[in-house]
Amino acid sequence: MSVVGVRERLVPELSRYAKGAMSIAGLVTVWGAIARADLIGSMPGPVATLEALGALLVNPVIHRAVQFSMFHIVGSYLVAVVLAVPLGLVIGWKSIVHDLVFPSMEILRPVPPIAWIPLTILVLPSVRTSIMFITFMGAFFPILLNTIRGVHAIESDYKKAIKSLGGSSTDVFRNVVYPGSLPSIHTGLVVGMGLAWVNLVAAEMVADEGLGRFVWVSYTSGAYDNIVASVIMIGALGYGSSELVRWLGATQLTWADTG
Amino acid sequence: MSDSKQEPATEAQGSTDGSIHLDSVEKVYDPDGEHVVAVEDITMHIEPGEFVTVLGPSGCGKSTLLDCIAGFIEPTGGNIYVDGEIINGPSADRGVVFQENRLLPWKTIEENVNIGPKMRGDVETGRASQLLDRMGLDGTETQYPSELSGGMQQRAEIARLLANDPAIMLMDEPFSALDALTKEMLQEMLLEVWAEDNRTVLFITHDVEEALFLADRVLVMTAGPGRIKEIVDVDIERPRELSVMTTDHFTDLKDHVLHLIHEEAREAME
Repeated sequence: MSVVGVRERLVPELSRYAKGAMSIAGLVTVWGAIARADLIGSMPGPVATLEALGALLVNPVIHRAVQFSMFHIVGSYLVAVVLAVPLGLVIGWKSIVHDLVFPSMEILRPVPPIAWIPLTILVLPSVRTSIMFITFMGAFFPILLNTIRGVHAIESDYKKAIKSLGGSSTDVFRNVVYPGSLPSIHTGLVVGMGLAWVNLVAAEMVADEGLGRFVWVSYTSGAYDNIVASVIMIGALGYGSSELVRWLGATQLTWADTG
Repeated sequence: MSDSKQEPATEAQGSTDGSIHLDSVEKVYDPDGEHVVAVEDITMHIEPGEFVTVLGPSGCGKSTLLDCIAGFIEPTGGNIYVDGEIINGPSADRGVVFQENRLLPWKTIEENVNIGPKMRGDVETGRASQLLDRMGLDGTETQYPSELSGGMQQRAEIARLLANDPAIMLMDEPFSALDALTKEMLQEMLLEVWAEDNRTVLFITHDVEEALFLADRVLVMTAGPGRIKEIVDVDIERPRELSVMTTDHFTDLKDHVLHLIHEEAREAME
């Protein structure tokens, strides 16, 4: 590739990162101004938070909390994927399954997952399973609905094409239904990861484990800078795991690359 | 292609010569109890290796007829026989080329061409490249369909069909979305492929010149409900080149067919 070609590719990239950095710098400036002006009680400023964050990163308590949270997230998310993707494919593919299963899903879906917390704590055998169930609920529905949507969006002529090439129903599933719905499944996986984190933190606050617990303990002990520092950590981990899912998916879906 | 096709049909069963027999085929759609007759009373025999085009205004049911023969939908009346047997759903013997290409976007061109043989479990190495070569698409093996132009996509779809070696090719306005030059090139290419392999072709179009240039016989349909208006014999020698379109004989045939269609249009308006 020519030098000009490389430059053409790098310049828009750089400016995109530069804009991103400017955006974050702006946020930190506003935050610092608000903290300095004492507008909101005793809100810790960027410098205090950074110090707290530095201390947290070497604190064994937070290491343990992160380990718990990651275990909850990964476990619940995997269970959600393993259940929601096949179920979504079948519901999308076979209208009889859709008509039998989907209505009950539609009743459960609008319930805010946090509303399940009291019941799960009472009913499920341990705090850990309660947290994981709530987290699972966050990931399950976006993955399920996007999978169904992906199957429904496939042009039916592709199925006809496979049939007229001598393919069976199984061939249609393997060559059309599954690969054709992957871009939409991928969207569901990214959204599902984000909502899994939302639910995880809420559940952990109540059920007293992991990063959610750490935020809550910081609150009850009045460690303002630790609250903000751990919120930043949760944000970074949530963002990182969503990006990981997005990146992994994109490497598998080169044909759907729309730039 | 396969030897069996060059031999006369001595076996009544299991032969794939590619004759199509339509016996009073009728398709009525029934949305909300309101009868919509798409095609009616279509009776025609198509010989193995014959090239028949179906010509008619849009909405005359010509695609419905093709869907019936492909086995995608069932006629509500009459029967469709292929090589003497009533068809039962789609089959690899009756390949379909769609109006918009239906190459699988998630598979490379080579994977698309190989898909028929792959589903049967007998992929022959190098066969896809050979067919792509034949269609003037060498070097596109590892590309995705979206990376090809419209004309190349249609050629790749024809290669996919040839890989499956069907006795019958059903083509539903395959070139109607292409520009005039590409369209003419593909028409000539299709005639070459057809002359080499001698498959039966049923080709739907609304383009009078295309219908006459390609066909042995043109089935002109009436406007809704679709019936046979007339079957026009195209007695023009083969191999044909695009220049036949300027001959007097071609022009006469074209005038005749246009007359039939205008008559139809007038009746439909009254």
